[in-house]
Formats: sequence, structure tokens, C-alpha cells
Amino acid sequence: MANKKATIMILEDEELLLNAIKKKLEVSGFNPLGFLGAQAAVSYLQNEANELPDAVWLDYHLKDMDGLAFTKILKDTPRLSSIPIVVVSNSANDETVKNILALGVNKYILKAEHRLDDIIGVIENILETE
Amino acid sequence: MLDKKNLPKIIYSTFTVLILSQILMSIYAIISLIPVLAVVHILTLSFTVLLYYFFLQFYENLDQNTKLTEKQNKELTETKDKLTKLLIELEEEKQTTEKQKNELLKLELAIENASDPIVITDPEAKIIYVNKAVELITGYARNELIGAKPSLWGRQMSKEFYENLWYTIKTKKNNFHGLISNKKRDGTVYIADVNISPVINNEGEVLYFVGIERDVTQMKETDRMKTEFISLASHQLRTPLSTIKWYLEMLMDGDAGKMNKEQHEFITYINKANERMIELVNSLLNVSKIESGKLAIDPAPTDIVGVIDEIVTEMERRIKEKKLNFTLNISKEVPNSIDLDQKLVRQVIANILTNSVKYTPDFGSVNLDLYTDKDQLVFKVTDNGYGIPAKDQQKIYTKFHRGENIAKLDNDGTGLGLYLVRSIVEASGGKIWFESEENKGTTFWVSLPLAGVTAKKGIVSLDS
Repeated sequence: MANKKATIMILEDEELLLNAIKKKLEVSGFNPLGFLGAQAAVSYLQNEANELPDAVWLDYHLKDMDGLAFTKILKDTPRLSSIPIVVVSNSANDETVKNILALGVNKYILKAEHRLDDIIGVIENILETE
Repeated sequence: MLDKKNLPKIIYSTFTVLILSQILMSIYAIISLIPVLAVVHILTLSFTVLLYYFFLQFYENLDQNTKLTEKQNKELTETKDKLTKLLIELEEEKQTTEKQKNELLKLELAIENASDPIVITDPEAKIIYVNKAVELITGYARNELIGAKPSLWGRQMSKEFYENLWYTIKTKKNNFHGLISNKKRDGTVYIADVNISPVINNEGEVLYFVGIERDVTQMKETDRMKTEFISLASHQLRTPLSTIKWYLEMLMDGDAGKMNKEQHEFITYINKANERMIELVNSLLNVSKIESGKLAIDPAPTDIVGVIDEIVTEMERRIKEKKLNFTLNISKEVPNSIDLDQKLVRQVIANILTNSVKYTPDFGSVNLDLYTDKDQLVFKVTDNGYGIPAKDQQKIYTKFHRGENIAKLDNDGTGLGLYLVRSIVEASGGKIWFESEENKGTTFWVSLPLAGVTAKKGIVSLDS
């Protein structure tokens, strides 16, 4: 299983964006695992029968939970705390960025400023150094 | 012989003639040995002398009386003058008092009718005066307020907050300024911008405390809504733009199959327009953030030369494309580290340099100089480009304004760049100025304090 595709969990509540990310990850050689809401993603992660993702692509503003709350759940659960998280958001309030980075998020990226390729590059870098 | 003193001349002369004639007559009678005549004349003489004496006494008294009256008159005049002077002084005094009274009345009316609530307390915080506005804002009547303490409508803040307030005004005898939540009689909580000053006598004792507050609840609410709008707009506007951007990226990358040349060309145009839209949204959001007054300035030790190198590297491709002669001169005096908000400085320098590169024709020259001047760090960007027409020079920092010559050349700019640049520079305690001549070129200077920019707490930061 040396060449097993890395699984990237994506949390994005805009379906069009989620589909774009999934498609781009697929063509880039990843195994995307998309969720439109955080609750469903948390349920998936808390079910020990499920395979854990190698990284999480997290939109900060989700309809059912904000990125900070989701990150807290992951960081407070020993089994999940080491999964790298990249926040990809459309708003970058200083305080929010500071708070979420303090929780141990690997990177905060402003969505409209970056190409999908760039963000995938960031994830690849994180996975390589992990 | 005769002491005439103050006798009238005629009386004096009459008596002199009478007395002399009686003496002569007496001597004649004695010489003539006529005793009866002599006795008669001597008696007449004695009588005349006696009469003269009485006249003399009478006139002496009369004279003294006259003298006395004159003296009294003089004294009276003096007294009258003094009285007149006193009356004038009194009148003046009256007018001054009247004026002061009017001034006091004016002051009292001003305080009483001021729109901001004003409270005066004794050193123990017992209220001795409130103006109308206090009644209006708190909902308590004046008779309930006088004698009470401001805690009547306070007590919404922490114990530590009030302890600090009292320490400031009573122990340190300094002014206190801060935002305080207060509670009206009907239970409504409002936010007040409060200023409290101790009134101190010559011995340094506190006589009163004067508190002035202003209800800023509405203002705070507007601020909150503005910030919320910024955050909402940034999210809402960027989401569709991101969608377009990412799908176009996949189309251009051939992720959905290969496009023909023309399709690729069209998609490239759409992408370019979309990037412009993203840039415009970013600029608009930055303007909005700056205007909300909540822009954070977060200085940290910055390797400014490193930042400049990064900006230049980012622009290298464009400089080469236009075959510009670019020079970078960094003076040796520029310190290795200065306390700057790197993000903001980057925005300023990148913006000015981008303008120079953009608005200088191919084969032109652009220079960036970094040096120190007294206590300032100076960035100087010079080009020999299109320049700013004289009639546009007054308006270059105006939002959405674009120079007439460059607007004809391309329609790519937002007209927000220099507005943002100046706002950032001024918020950082720096200065920006320029010299320009159409078709000859432009030089921009930006100076920032070498001692570093002052931190400003805010809740928003600019996007690139």
C-alpha cells in the first residue's frame, strides 16, 4: 500500500465549491472526502470504524458550526488531534486567525486569493513534513 | 493805633475821625479850662472807643464765622467728591457684579441644558448637582438623584473596574476616561463614554468630582453593524468569485478536457475579468475596514530590506516584460530591524511600485531608494513614466479617482490604491508626498518614523 492515495476531508458548505475542490483533489491524485456540514464530519470522525483522513480542508464559516468549534473538537480528541488542518476561508479577521492558529491549525488561507493548485501544494507540503 | 482787623474801611475811617476829633476837642476843652466841655468830650471819647471796641469784636466774630463756613464748605465739597467717586465705583461694581451674575447665569444655563449628562459630586461621591440630561438619560428625577451616588444607575461593571476608577480620580487625582455600562431606571442598559475630573483646591484636596458622560450605545451599535457588514460582505462577495475562479482554473488546466484555442482564449479573458473583480472587492473591503476606524496596526521587528527584496522579486516578471531599467538603492544607514506592521508597509510600497511599473512605458526606468532622513525612514520611488497631469494632482488620493492620461491607457485600475496607501501611511504616523510632471515622470516619497510605528488595537486587518 505504498502508493495509497492520501485522503483529504473537505468541509465546505457551498456545494459548487465543494465539487470543485473534490474534482481538483481527484485529478491531483488525492482521495477527497467531502462534507457540506461540520456535524456530519464530526460524526464520521468519531465513528472509530471509519478510516481517518490524512488532512482536513476546512472552510471557516460553516452553517452548523464555525471552524474554531470544529478544530477544538479535533484537538480535544486524542485520536484526532494530530490530523493536520488547513483553513480555507473567505474572511480573515485578525482575531479569528490568531485564535484558530493558536489551537494548532497548520495554515490559514484566504480563499479568493489562491488557486486550487496553490492550496493543494500547501497540503502536499504539510503531508510531506508530517 | 487802632487795630483795624477786619473792620470795613468806612467804619474804621469814621471811628478814627470821631476818636481823633474827640481827643482834639478834649485837649481844647482842657486847655481852654472849660471843665464841663472837657468832661463831655472825654465821656464822648470814652463812649466812641467803647463803641469801636464792640464793632471790632462783632466783626472779628463775623470774620471767624465766615472763615469757618468757608472751611466747612471746602470739607463738604471734598466729601461730596469722595461720595461721587464712591457712587461711581459702586455703580461700576454693580455693573461688574451684574456682568458676573449674567456670566454665571449663562454658565448655569449652558450646563443645565447641555445635551450631555453632567454630574457634580462631593469627595464621597454624593451627588450635589445634576443637569437635565442626567434625568433624561437615567430616568431618575432630580430629587432622587441629589444626595444619592452615581452607583444608583451604575453597578454594571466589574468591581475591579470601579476600584481602578476611584484609584484614578481620588488617590491619583487624575482624570478618568472610559466606556461604562449604566442602567436606566427602567432597566435598560446603555453604554456611556465617561469623563470624570476631580476639582482640587490649592491644598491639593478634592473638593468635587465632575462627571460628563455621553450615550454612545447607538454609535457602538452602528460600529458593530459596520464591522458585521464588512465581514458579511467579504464572505458573500468572495464566495461566488472563488467559485468562478476555481472552475475557470480547472477549465484552463484541462481538468474537464482539452479546449480549443479560441475557447482557451475566451476563458483567459473571463479569468482576467474575475481577477479584477476579486481585486476590486479586496480594495473595497480594505477601504471599508480603514473607514470603520478599526484597522489594527500591529508593529513587530521587521527586516525592511528583506520585505523590499520580496516585493521586488514579486514584480520582477512584470519589470522584465516591460524591459524597464530598474535600480534598487538601499542606504547603509537603514537599520536591520524596525518596528513596522509588515503587512501594511508591504501594501504601501507594493502599491506605489506597481503604479510606477504599470505607468512607465517599455524601456523606461524605475528606481526604488530606501534611506534615512533624521528620525525618518524614507522610501522613494522614481520613474520616468506617463506622470500625473497637473489638473489631476490635487485629486490623486481621492477614492476612485484615476488620472485622465492613464485612464485612457488602460481600464484596469480601481482608483483606490493611493487612497488606501495614504490612509495606511497616515494611520501609521507617516507622511506621503509626490512630485510629478506629465510625460516626464513621477517621484513618490513615503516616510515612517525610524523609532517604529505605534501599535493600534483594532479588529480588522487588510487583505492583500
